[in-house]
Amino acid sequence: MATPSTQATVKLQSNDNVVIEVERAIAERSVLIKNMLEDCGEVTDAIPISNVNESILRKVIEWCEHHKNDPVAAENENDDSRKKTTDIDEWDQKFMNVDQEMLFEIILAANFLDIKPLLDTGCKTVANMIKGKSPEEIRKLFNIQNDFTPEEEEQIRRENEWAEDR
Amino acid sequence: MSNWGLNSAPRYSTRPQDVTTSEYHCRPDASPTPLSSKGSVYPHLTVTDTPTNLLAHFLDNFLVHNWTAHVAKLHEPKQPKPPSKILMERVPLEILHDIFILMDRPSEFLALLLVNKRFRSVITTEYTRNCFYQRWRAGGCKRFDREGYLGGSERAGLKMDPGNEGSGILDSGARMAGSTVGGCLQSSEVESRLKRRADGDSLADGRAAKRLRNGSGASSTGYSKVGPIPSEGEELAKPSVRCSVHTQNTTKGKLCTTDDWRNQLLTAQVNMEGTHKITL
Repeated sequence: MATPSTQATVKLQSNDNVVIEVERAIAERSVLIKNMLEDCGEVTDAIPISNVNESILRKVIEWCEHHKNDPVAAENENDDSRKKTTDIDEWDQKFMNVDQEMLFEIILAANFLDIKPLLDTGCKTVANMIKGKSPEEIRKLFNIQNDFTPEEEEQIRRENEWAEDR
Repeated sequence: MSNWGLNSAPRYSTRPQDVTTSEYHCRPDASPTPLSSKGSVYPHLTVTDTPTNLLAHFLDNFLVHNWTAHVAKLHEPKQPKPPSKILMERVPLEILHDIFILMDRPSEFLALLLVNKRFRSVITTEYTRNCFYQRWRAGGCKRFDREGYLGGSERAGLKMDPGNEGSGILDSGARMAGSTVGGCLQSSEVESRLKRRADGDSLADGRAAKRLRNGSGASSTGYSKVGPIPSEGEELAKPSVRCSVHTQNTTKGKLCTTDDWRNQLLTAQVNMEGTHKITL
């Protein structure tokens, strides 16, 4: 019987009931899974990942595999160092080169599984898509409905025109 | 004898006034006797023409034109499928916060206000604004470096006082925010800047120096909108317009008025230059 520290693999079950077996070290890139494994000890059954479907789970695992040797960021350095730059490394850029639906699903999965570096990469990708675009272009890009009245829009525009050239 | 259809009812329109007489001149073979629409498969049409013309019209207006349109459609570049409307709706506000604070410039950040109410609820939150402000300020300092606002050849004859610069920035940071936003420059960053400065980074242009000599906000950054650049220790005048765009509490923290935040941003920008003013 394996102890938690020696258990080599864990099984993850997507919300469409597909079980994927991964190395424990890879699965532990997710803080949620890591904490669960620490709390529960040995887990022989598949861990249900209720919010994530198979394709997204495989994509997340792919990211975790590639980044399995990355140093885990310390708790206290989260905000400053993580968010100072929107530079994304080349592999991550290719990884995030997916359709919007997949991109947001990855972000949501990273949020659910508590994989901060992946969440950051997703946020940076979306931020880079938004940068330099007008509100109208952003709405078009993400198919967002404008729920402002023309008066409200005009008021907001007036109040923030001071920042237009900044 | 044909009357050229001038007195007949329009052939394919349900509204007689839609058809001009010139149309009839083009059709000398138009029948003077209107055909009954009774029993027609198109009873809503007033059929007054010969079957030949009907066929001609059909070919002209339905087959050929539609075919052209159809072919044109086929050759149109395929547009990517628009994302689902619920996609952005599902993204939690905390994640929107994380995305928004990554904007490079206040204008990009504030443009998000106009996207929709959900975006606005995040942008108007004090916590989000402060986070953006901190990040922007740190990035802004770096941008100033890159653009030659710091250090360099133009300064060769000027007094070099790295200590002044470092302390100035930290002082201004502490003063401007009053609390959380102060001191976003880490000491390591200040050190590295001082080192770069000591190494004699080149100054690309004299814009900073000119701007600072002009003093009163003649720069392109538009300080004139809120008055002259205040000297060290002097506070910006409080704008009289209060922000009326308020929303419910969202992620963390409380709401922030636009003018408070504007002051914060402007003061930061002023302080960034004001710091160099002292140095130069």
